[in-house]
Amino acid sequence: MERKIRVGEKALAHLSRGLYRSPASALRELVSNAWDANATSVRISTGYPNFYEIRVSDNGDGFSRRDFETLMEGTREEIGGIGNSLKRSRSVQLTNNRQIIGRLGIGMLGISQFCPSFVVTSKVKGERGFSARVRLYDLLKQQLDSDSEEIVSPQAVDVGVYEFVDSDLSKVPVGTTIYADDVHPTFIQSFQTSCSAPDFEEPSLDWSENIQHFSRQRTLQELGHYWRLIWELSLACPLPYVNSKALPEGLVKQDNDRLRRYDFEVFLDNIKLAKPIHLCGNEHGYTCYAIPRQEKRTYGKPVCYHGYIAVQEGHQLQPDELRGILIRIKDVAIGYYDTSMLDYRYNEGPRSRWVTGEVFISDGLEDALNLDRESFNRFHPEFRELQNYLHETLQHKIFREVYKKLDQRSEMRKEVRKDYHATILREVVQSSSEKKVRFKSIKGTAKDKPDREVRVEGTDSGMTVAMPDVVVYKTKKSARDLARAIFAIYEISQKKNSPTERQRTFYDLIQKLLFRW
Amino acid sequence: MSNSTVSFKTDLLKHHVRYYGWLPFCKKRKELAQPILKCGRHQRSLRYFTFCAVSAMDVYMLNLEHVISSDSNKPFKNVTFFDKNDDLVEETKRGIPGATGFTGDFTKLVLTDNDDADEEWEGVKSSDLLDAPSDKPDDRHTRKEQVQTAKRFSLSMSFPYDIINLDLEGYVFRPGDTFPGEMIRALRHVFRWQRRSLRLGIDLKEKNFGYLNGFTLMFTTQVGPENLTDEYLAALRQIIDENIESDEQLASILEERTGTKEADKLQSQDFDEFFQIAIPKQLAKMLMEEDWCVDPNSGIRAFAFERQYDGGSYRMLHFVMHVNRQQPIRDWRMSKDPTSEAREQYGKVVRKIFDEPVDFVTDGSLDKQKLGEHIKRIHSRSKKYRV
Repeated sequence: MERKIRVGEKALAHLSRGLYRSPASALRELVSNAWDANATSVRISTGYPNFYEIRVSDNGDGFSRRDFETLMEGTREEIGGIGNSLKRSRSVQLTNNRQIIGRLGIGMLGISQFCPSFVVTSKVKGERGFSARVRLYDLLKQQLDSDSEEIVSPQAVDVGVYEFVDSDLSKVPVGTTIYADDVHPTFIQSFQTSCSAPDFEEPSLDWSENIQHFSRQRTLQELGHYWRLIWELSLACPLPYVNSKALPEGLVKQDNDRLRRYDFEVFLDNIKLAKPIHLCGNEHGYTCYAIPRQEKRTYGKPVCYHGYIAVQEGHQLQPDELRGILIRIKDVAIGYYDTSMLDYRYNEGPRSRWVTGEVFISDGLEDALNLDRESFNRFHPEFRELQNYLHETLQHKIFREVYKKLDQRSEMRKEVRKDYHATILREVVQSSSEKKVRFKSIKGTAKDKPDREVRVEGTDSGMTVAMPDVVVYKTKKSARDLARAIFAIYEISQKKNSPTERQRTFYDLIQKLLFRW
Repeated sequence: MSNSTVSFKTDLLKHHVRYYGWLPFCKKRKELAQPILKCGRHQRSLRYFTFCAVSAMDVYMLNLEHVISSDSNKPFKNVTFFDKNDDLVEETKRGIPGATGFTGDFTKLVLTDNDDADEEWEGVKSSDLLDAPSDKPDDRHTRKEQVQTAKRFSLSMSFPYDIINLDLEGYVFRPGDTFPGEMIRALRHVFRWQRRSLRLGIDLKEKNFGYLNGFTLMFTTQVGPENLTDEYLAALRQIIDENIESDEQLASILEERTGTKEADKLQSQDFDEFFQIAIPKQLAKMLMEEDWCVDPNSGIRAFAFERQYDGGSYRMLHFVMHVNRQQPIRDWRMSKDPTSEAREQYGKVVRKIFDEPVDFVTDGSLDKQKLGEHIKRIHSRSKKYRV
């Protein structure tokens, strides 16, 4: 006989204690809420450089007092309460072709990870608006673990209290503001400390300067918490790039146009955020691959995506955090760039540190998302579908091209080195001879067993040095040019009249050669 | 501190005070501060503390007139301001990006139970005050205590400033305040904090610019309240009486100006005049007690105007002064009492307060065209910076 398995309310209550890895993740959720509320502008104030209060306000649709009550408590008519989002249960049309991001309605509690008490003020057009103080219980884990009667009942688990606050909201605009004035001292301390480090540079209001600052760091950890917050938030949110040429070969032009059409801005401490990505100016260029739109189905469900992969040829990407593949669902980043490239199994050596890419999921993969919206169930069929495509592309298209270019550069470097070594030998030899010295090549390969000797012929007008191809010498490849040069110097010095002169000339030329080689 | 009934963006009475009072003093401060704006190769800008309203007219004005210079990265990073609530602070920050804002009640943040708490902060960093205590639970009460202490510390450590604008908008003596009043006690802390040496992070290093040898103070208050208790009135009368006792001529000067040489009669006959004379003296005395002295050459310039409201009218007083550090500074003196030179200068300042009447500004005395044009320029400036 089949029986049902229930998930206890305490499980969800534990989630309210902490779900997100970083403050940026929690703030990202509030930004997502604003997006879902049709906001065009979100302003986040961290209280920099003191961080005593945090404020997130948007100009979205707001929500009514009743909706707030339902969100907090649930009612008989509507199954609300934290975790039962009203967003998906009602059909909501968003502006500018946006798709709804949030799904569980726990985003608002994200901020409680570092601020257990905050004030929510919201106003819907045509209504008076409301203001409510939300306060999560202190020491919640202990109370949950001990089944404290104060918070655990058969029907539900209370994680805190809220109360409406009387205030004059006549001048408050439509939208929502969350004002966190109970920021945890540990959070404040961490951020204050990072901003008072001796090498701390203040972020600029000019976003392109901030991108340059990011790209000068080997890793963002060197910048401290505040800069990391800027990076993570700008990466996570559905924002445009700094411009359409943020990536080479117009890789993101269409996506950038699309993102701009959403008409959505996020400001952090008055800095207008954009994606923190800008690749240009690499000496050896980039290998770019635009992932064309893929429309697949797994177990009857659609999985649609497109994107790009860019390889910075010859140089490791900076910062490290830009390496790997970033997946976006509805333009919101899921976690960070995955340096494993979705568990790519081939060892591409240092070349893997040159790779960055984004995949924009327009349909699917939400079922594969873990609750924190920062990671995937790696064995979910939809994830595997994406993974297989990317690995195929990386192995057979991207890295193939990368290795081809690597070989080309290697050959070019060899040529340059050869020319360089030939020039040194010529200059060293010429410096010791009053007559003009001419060098010429003797063609041949090792298979033909040609003469390995360097031949030197002197005339009244000058000296001719005939040198075989380096391939005749049975040494390491890197030593062949040097071997031939030494033999040439030996033969040249043998043309001197006396043993003493021959020895002196040989020693002299060898030293000069090795000094410059 | 904002007063929602008056538009500070366009009010000409207020702008008269800004233009003819604050601005010349602030420009002079920039000139006087030139020698101390350098530390080795490094140059700093003037630092400004204000209770500006959301309109930030004073900030824009000083920026327009090149008193406080902009940093292209953070235009107003040398400005610190205070406002009542987060909405106002946020709105102000948008208008003056880069400025540091503090939210809440100024006196409640500045004051503690222990007025000597500042002395215990030598060598402390605000992040130290936020360490997790070993013996207290992680609850709201503990956190609030920690954060309030750290916030006060952050505010105090942001001093000193070259120009301080305490534009109260309300009363300096609030109804129900225990004598000598929270604002007066808070001002003492401010004057103490002003004695600190100025350390700034420049080019990724901390530079010590040393002690300020002076600053400019602007102070605004409403005359009143009407029901000021005897304790306060007695204290204000005492200041006037003390001055008269120490300088015989002051009695005649007072009589010539007000018709009486007795403080208690002045209080009952003309409370506004009584208040206008007593308050700047109170400030000058406090400054002297805290190792400063009002510059006797410029004295205390005073302005007043009336504002109308439904129930009647009220008077606003504006004072502006240069303040000098007593030399040698208290830390380097045997006695912590004011120097004789400071006392002498105080005497001169007091005489000037008696001597020079308040500049009473009325609608009829305004140069509306000049002020209006200046306001327009300030508004243009604000549009340039608003984010």
